[in-house]
Amino acid sequence: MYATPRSSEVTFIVAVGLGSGGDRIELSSRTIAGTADPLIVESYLRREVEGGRSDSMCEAIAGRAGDGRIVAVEIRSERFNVVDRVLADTPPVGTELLASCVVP
Amino acid sequence: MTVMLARFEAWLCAPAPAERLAAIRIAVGAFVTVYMVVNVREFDRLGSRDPSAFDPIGVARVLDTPLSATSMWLLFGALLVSGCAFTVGIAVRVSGPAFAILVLSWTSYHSSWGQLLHFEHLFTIHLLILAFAPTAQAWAPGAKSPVAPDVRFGWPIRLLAIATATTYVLSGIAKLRLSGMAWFDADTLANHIGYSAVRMETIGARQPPLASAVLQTRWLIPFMAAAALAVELGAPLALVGRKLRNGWMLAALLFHAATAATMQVFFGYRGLAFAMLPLFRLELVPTYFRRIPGRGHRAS
Repeated sequence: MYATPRSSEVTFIVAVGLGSGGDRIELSSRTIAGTADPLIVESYLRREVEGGRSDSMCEAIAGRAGDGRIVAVEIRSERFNVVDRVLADTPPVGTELLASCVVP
Repeated sequence: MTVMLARFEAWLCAPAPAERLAAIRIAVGAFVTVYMVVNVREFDRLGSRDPSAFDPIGVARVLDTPLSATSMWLLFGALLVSGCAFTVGIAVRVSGPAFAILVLSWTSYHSSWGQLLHFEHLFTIHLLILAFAPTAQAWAPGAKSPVAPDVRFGWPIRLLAIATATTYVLSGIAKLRLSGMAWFDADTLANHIGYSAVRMETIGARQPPLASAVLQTRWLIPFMAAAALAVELGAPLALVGRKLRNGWMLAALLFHAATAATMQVFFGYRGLAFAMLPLFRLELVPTYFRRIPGRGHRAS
């Protein structure tokens, strides 16, 4: 995967937590996919969305996100200019909401 | 051509001490067994995954459906038992093949969910070679030592070294085949570094420590890309002689450290030099330990 040319704009499937005020709370890799390996987390998110299982994945993540601060989980597609993001913390150039669910 | 082949055959079939092969058995067996323990949560995770995401590859293709949670834990237990037995050198004619086949089964199954986990391939290949080699003629319960150096201890070690070098060369060839000359411009590697950093951010982790610094020093990136390719394509040099081996290994370890610092990608089997052990005379390790001041004194 590191041998192929890669565009500076990349779409990531992300899972984010939302606080009671709607504020964004980052979820850990273990909360998202039950593993610390970023390759597996990325693959899990992509495969579930591509397989039409965004809603069930959202609920599974919400089931692991119950630390009291997070009231909802969203699955989003976010497109970044990855170099600009690292150098200047630029916001996503595009965002699409794929699924949302409440934390039980 | 005939001379070249004869020299290669002489190199491939050079006798080696039984202790060298035994040391590799212990090191590789211990690494993979510990790796399984460290990754125990993967067995739990895969035991409860949605079956619809199962996309079997390799030997996992014999399965129509994913393994049950109970089967996953039985596999984990069998891996630990056979791994410990193989590492220690107990019943290696059984524990060696059993461990290798179980590891092959696990790594195939682990990669059957949409993501090929390349970092598990090399140690699987190494174990498959070791499983059918006489690895317990020394440094194992019941081993009759000393055993004279022999080609039957030598060729598996050469094969292990060839496997290591081949994986690096294949990575280099893939870069040339898929990226071509674009690999050497600043954008390709910069985008990979940026991609890895943002990926870490999206899963709530810190960005790689040197990602930002390297992206700010853009002129450096083509040199890093060229160095990475040189390490990969130059891996066969490590098979040629001691100085070239040492030079290549130092460069390879720097390459792995740089990859970890800029992309948060670290493959332990290579980055901790386990994959390179077949290049060294490991039977001398106890001698080095005895030479350490204090230890040697106590030993005498």
